[in-house]
Amino acid sequence: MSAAPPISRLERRRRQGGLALLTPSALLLICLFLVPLGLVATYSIMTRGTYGGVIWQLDFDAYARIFGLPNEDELRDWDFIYFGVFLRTAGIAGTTALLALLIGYPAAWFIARAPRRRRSALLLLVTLPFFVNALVRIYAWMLILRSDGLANNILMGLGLIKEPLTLIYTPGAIVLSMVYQYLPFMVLPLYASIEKLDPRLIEASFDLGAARFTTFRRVIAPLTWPGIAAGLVLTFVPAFGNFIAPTLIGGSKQLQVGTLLAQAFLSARDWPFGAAVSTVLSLIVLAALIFMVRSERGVVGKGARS
Amino acid sequence: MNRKSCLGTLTAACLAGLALVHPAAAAGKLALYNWSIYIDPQVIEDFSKETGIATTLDNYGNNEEMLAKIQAGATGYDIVFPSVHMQDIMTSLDLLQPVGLQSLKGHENIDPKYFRAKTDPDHQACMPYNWGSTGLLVNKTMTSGQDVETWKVVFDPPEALKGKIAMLDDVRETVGAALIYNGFSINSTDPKELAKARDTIIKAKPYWAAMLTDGIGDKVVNGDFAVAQWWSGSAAQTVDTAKDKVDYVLPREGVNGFQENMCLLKTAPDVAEAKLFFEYMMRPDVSAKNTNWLRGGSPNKAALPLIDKGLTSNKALYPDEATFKLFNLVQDLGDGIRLWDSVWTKVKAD
Repeated sequence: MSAAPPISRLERRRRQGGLALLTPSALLLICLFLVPLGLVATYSIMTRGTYGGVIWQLDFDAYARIFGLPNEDELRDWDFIYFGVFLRTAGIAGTTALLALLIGYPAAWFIARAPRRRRSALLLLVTLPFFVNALVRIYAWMLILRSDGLANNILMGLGLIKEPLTLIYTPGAIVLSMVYQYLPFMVLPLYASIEKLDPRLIEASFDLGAARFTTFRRVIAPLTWPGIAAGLVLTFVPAFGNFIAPTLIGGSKQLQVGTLLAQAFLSARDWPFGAAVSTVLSLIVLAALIFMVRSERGVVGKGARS
Repeated sequence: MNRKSCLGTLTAACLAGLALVHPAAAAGKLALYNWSIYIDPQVIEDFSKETGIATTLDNYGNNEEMLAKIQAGATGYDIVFPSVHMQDIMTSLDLLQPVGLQSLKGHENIDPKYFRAKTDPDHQACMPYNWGSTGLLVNKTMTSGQDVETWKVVFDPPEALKGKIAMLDDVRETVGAALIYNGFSINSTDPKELAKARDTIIKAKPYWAAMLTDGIGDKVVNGDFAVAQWWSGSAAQTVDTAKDKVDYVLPREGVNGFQENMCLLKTAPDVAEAKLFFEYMMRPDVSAKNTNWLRGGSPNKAALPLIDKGLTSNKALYPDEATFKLFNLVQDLGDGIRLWDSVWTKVKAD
């Protein structure tokens, strides 16, 4: 029976120092994330004011509306319209993330395997589009996709089509512009993961008789999974709340979460409902982030055991 | 010269430069908050030159955005340019400042026939600025032989125009047009009537290419759209650039007649300067200059002879008595907006 060894002064200093170092980021998180989110959640369960704002009386109708419950005063019958809006948006954002992964993985692989002195130049090329304002880049896509735009003119010039194709104002156009917009968010975390990958493991896999695809599936993909998960989340989350692409490229014909939010706060002057949509959106994003952190841990855990 | 004194010299030089740009900065300042592309920049410049008042201009995209910003406590602005129904809302929220603008010089130039806000019929806090209508901008070639002077062309379109129609992405405009098409009031809050308007839109939506609030003019000229619901001022600008290709028409069932007013904010820091600006804008030459630039409708009787004949001779832009009867003014719906919103959500999510 020996008492626990006393903590040395140095060790205590080190621990306190660690806490002190955490303080700024913790404060930032509380002030700029938790407090605003708490405010939004509070507003979402208040009564709607006629001209925006809220009346400080509890009212859960906003959530009832999202979950499709009927309400006599609002002329609502059972209606799962908002599930549809969330699902459609998730579909478009998910497609965007997957396409970005398909395009981004080979690109990240190529950059990570390039000679060291060329890598920074290649990474700069990936981030180069950020030097131009996002709105300007969206307008560029509009010029490419419109009836008498670049794409149609090239296709007609080559004689491949006779009539201009309807490219702009389609869900496909929304996905295309968002893949383009968020591709760097996919490539950068993938690059970081692939660069850390030990090439000897791939050689070992080949030596043990694995085919190329098996090697990818059983060795490379699991080891670069943190990068894949981070890339998927970093593209899915902004695509989910995107407001500009559905409005300008999508022609606003179909409601998405981003446009629904703008409508609730502006034309409908319904702050509690907007806040409720916001809260649901934040929960979805939070779930995505938890998924990302867990997948990183899972891999680290495996690494520690092997 | 060391770095510090160099900086000091530079700063002094910049300040001196600023002083040169605004020789009469002491004459005060004025902050306008207006729709984008809704006032001739030259008019602001002339006003600053003449009075020495340093005038700034910020823009918003629509009434709701402006209201949200003012409600959120944006201060420093003196004058905003809300539509009449938004002016009523702002009055009920106590955001405007009634200072008896009707006693200002030039007020007698205002044509009494134009719209008055219910909450300010005698111009205490606001002055009429510009009016117009929401009609249809049509591509002449693509619509030749079709009857386009009716809302039927967008709500029940002929085969040739399907997929070539653009509607405004605006709840009051789009649902309003569907109400008028069904023979109801543009300000209806009757659930049955709104349900009918909703069904009209849901049925027509597959034939619409897009719902937008900007960049429509070019797209009608280049054939992306054959017919588009569009505001008269912007439509007139497009017609000016391509007279042979496009035309602006008013559907005979009736249209949304809109009017924006210049209003003095409750929080305005520069009331005296704002009054000077109102008086300046009431001058016939200034009103005409601004109207010619906007291709809009001036509520100023005395300015009419000075406005481009190309505008005043176009019946769709300067309607005669009979045509003016088609204009329906959008009113604030109060809590009725909830019904409209559920209709709007339904048609947009469909």
